[in-house]
Amino acid sequence: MKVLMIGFNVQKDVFPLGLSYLKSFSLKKHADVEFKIKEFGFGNRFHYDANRSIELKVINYILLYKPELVVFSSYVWSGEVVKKICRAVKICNPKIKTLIGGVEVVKEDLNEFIDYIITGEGELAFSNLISYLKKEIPINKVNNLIHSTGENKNKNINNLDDIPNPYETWEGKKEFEAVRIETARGCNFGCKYCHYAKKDFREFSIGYLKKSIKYLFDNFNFRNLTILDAHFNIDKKRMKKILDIIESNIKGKLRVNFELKPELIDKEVISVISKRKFKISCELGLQTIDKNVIDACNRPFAIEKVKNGLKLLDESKINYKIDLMYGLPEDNFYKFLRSLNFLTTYSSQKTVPAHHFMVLNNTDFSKCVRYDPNNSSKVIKTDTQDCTDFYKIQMFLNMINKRNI
Amino acid sequence: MKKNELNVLSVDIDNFDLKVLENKRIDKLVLEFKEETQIEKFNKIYPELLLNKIYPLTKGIPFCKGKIEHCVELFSSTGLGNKKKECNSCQLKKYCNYNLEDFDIKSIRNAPKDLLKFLEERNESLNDWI
Repeated sequence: MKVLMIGFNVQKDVFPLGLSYLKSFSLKKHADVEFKIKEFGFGNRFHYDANRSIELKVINYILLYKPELVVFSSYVWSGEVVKKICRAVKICNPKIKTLIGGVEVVKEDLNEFIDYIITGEGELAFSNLISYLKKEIPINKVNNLIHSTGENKNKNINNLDDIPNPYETWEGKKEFEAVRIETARGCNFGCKYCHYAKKDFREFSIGYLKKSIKYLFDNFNFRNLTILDAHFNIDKKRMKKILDIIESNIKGKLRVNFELKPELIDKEVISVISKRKFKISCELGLQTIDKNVIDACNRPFAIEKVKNGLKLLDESKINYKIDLMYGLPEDNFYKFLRSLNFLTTYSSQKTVPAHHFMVLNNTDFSKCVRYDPNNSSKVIKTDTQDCTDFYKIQMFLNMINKRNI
Repeated sequence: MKKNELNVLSVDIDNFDLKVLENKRIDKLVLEFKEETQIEKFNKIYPELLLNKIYPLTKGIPFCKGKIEHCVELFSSTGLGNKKKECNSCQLKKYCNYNLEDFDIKSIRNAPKDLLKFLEERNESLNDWI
């Protein structure tokens, strides 16, 4: 059986971690199956010449490869295009089964061109779907699956260590600009705009990470390593262990990127991330300081702790970026100004990045109207603002940020 | 202008021509007003300015007569100018620097509460914004 797994990336030269997880987990049971991962960039998506349009390139690749099953990893940036490609593939070769999964999929995506949808975590479901296609199990035993005859129960992997290291089953090139390691899944917090909030929080064991990280450094060349963990600094001892493992394996120049919860930055966190052999780049999401907006987002927030965290980061000279978000429910221009005032007062960051709120599929923000009703897209109207307000905020921010040029 | 220098254009609204945006990089635009009739011109060019990625700042328009979020006084000096008696009960009088005669002034009695909160919280760092 031939299974072709397609992903689209917006950043150049990043290891395709999501699809590689599916492959490594499925190989445990299905060593006889040929899994091929193919990643495409979005550079020439709209080019008129057939050989330069990324969509036509992908469609033709699938038709020429002739897999029994083609799998698409569907993210915010690729959700729409993936559905169009499935349609084209099915019209040209109805024998090819199509499967989409990822954070962007919703059960309404199922149609005559999409045979299967995996919702939620993919590893277990994908492996079981292969078993079904090999006629080893009935379709109702494939969890997390939506198909033409029904919708099966959701079930996730209890122990993340059951997933074999995805870098070990990778068969392509070993040099990447950036690689990622997932150290945990899910999030204990329930911010309404975020996907992480829906999953159970689970961690890979330190023993698993020790082996995986060593393998990564011994076999791959890369300059950027991103740690995927929604609240890396919630457990400082674990955070130290993971950074120590990276440091003990480092071979050349490296930048390590991760997210920090600003409220949870204390002296111990600073001491754990300071004076490393690699460069550190931290991202912090503030979004807003307004209580009504925070409550509407169900976001935990402690302003004094954030001030303290920023002070400690500034004193330690650790490279960090803290962002705002505009377009959230209950927000308005003056509330945004207050958040901006907060950051320009309490952070030494020279410019203030702010993101136009994008309502993601499968998140709970029905009060916000988004540009594309069927796909994750930027909000155009809330209970308090509309897209002109958002545009003005961005123009205002551009002007403010220019003061440091 | 040096490569990394901020290019600020502060000009009387009557002397401003949109064509200046075609061949000059403007990082900050302050349009100055002396009388109420000039506001009409501002409203006409406002969409063009935003589409040219300019967030226009207005100087001299009292808060009760213009788009407050564009008034440069909102972000900088406070309480300037001699106030008219019509300003006595205005919630924003200590922030608005209106001191001209050619505007029909009305006191603002129902200012957005988030605007008031912002004005209460603003501090010296705000002067660096604009």
